Amino acid sequence: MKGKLLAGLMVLGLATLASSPVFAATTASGTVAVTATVASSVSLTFVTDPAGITLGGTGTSAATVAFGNVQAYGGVVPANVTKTLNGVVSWTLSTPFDVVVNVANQVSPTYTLTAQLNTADAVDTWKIGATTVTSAAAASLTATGAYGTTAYTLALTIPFTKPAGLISNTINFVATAN
Amino acid sequence: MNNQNKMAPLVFQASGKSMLSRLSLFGTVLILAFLWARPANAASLTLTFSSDASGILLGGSGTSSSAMAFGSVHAYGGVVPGGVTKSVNGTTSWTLSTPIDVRVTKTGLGFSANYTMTAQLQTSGLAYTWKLGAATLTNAFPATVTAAGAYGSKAPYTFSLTIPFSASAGAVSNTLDIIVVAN
Repeated sequence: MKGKLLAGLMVLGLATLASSPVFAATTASGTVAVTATVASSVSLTFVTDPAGITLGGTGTSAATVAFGNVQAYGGVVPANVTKTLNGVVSWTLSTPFDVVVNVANQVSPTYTLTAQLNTADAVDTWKIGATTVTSAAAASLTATGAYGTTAYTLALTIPFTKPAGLISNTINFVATAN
Repeated sequence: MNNQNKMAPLVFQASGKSMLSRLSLFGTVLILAFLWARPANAASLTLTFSSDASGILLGGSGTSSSAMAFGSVHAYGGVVPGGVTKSVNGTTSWTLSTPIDVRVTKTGLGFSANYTMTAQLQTSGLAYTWKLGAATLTNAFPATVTAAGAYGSKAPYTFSLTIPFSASAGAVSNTLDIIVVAN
């Protein structure tokens, strides 16, 4: 009788021990709440075209085209730049460059691309593709641009009557998702 | 006088029943003494999150219930919150990432060398990819972030949220349930 009582006590003790927090998995928990508001956006970058002049800042949205010292007759034409004499009236430097437009978090099949000169130039003629670009208004280069990479040709036409000297301007491009 | 040595067998005699009874009594006393000496709440872990020196500022830093608010974010352009890194993954997705500090302390767990940490999303976040450290998180099951976390010190874990370009603009909201278990 005594033995059974003690054995029972031992079983009870072991059961209590096994269910004790000492042997239970010890845990702790916490939470991290995350919030963000995703806004749609469009990316516009310029990249050196394989057949074009090497852009400064290629792969960015602020590129530069430096033709260097150029002349209508003779001289050195930068690599991948085409020089054309327009009779005895003017001469043109042209080179392709790539425009890369991407869209994120917006359903948009195409984009509109415009270009505008930063400062007025009443003497020289600036063209992107077939479109003349001035400082007066933004000229539309395409109303249905396909996202990805598109090659455009920059052409700068200089009249023979223009005095020699520095030419400098900036073309502002704007891409808008349609 | 009889000098003859007498040899007698050495006999141990004990009743089997009596021995069992003594062992049972001893064991029971030992177990009860052990339990008496250890309060039930002696073994515990604490888990807290805090802003990493190089990370985003957490709401509720230093507690076990913190908040991470990225605000309005763009794949291209826009403002990236302090301590957050934005990376654009080609033309398919973009990722926001930031380190957060996790600190786990133990009490009454001298035998526990380290801890296991798991994380799980509260709600489905299928459109996006949620990561804590190298673990990709879903709401389907807890993902193991570490199986051998060190106690005491603040351990930085990088949280990242990858957003596909194809996802619609709008609010993103979810909660990470994080559990640590003493090993």
